[in-house]
Amino acid sequence: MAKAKILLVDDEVEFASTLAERLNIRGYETSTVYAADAVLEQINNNVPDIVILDLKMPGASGVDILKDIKNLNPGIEVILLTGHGSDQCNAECQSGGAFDYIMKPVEIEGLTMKIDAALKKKQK
Amino acid sequence: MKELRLAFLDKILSSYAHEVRNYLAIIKETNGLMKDVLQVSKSKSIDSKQFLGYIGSVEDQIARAADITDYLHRFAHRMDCGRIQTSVNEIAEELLALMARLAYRKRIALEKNLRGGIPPTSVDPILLHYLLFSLIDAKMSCFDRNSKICVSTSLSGGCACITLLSKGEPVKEAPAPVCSDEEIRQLASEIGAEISSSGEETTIKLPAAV
Repeated sequence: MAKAKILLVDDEVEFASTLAERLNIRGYETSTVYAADAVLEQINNNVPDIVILDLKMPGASGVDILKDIKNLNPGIEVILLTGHGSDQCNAECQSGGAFDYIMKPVEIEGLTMKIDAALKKKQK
Repeated sequence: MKELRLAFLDKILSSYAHEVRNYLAIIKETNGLMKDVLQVSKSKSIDSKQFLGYIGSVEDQIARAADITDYLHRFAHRMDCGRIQTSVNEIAEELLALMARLAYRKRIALEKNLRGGIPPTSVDPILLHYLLFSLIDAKMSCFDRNSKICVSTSLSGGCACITLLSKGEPVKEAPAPVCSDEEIRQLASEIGAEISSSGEETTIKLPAAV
């Protein structure tokens, strides 16, 4: 069975590269993008199943990037990474069409459960 | 004015919280990765060089978190001291460290050039923080990403000066800054500072303490 492809988008290079390595250890094929303006190009080059997207990227709104991803390919499920699980974040997540959100610092088990649930939704 | 001061504190605290949360997130992931590697390589020997790299990364993040916390601690104690003899260099350095995340999010470079040998000024340090923050915030609102704001200090005619010089492309529609020009003037007058502007350069002049 092919590995699920994850694209991790976060400007914190050390955080993103370490989390990507942890996801790879768990059997996903994870690539990383560290700048908001490189996300769509990366998706065009290598379509992921799931995008994990930091909501607060420098110089860009995570919600706008989420909408761009959904416009480009509505089949990609997006999980937002956020610093706080507020009602506002929940609303932004839903209005932009994200699958779910997870708070930073990340609980890896919680994240993999959400990834697997998003993959199931995709396969339906 | 009270509401504006709360908005200033809100920005400083959220910048600090964002910064520290990122350090904690990296520490958590690096520790998790060490645990993952140990579990994967149960029967194999551990690559000590790889582990020393992970440990070094955790130590770096702890040192950065400690530095920014130290700045916040100093900043917090500025609030209850009233008018005292204060170094403009210390104020500028603290504020730039605490505003680093705000600037980074706007992709604006904050640079500093703090000259030594400047005598202290007699001022309420939290109000000077607020004035300097308001001027930097106003400049950050006006400039597009990849712009630069340089904060320098100097001594001129017996006064301690803090100069802000901005370079970059102005934004088409600037959002409202935390503090209006009128409020900045009021604040400057309250602390006995003189503000002058020329082109993209703004200077706060404070008399040296006698």
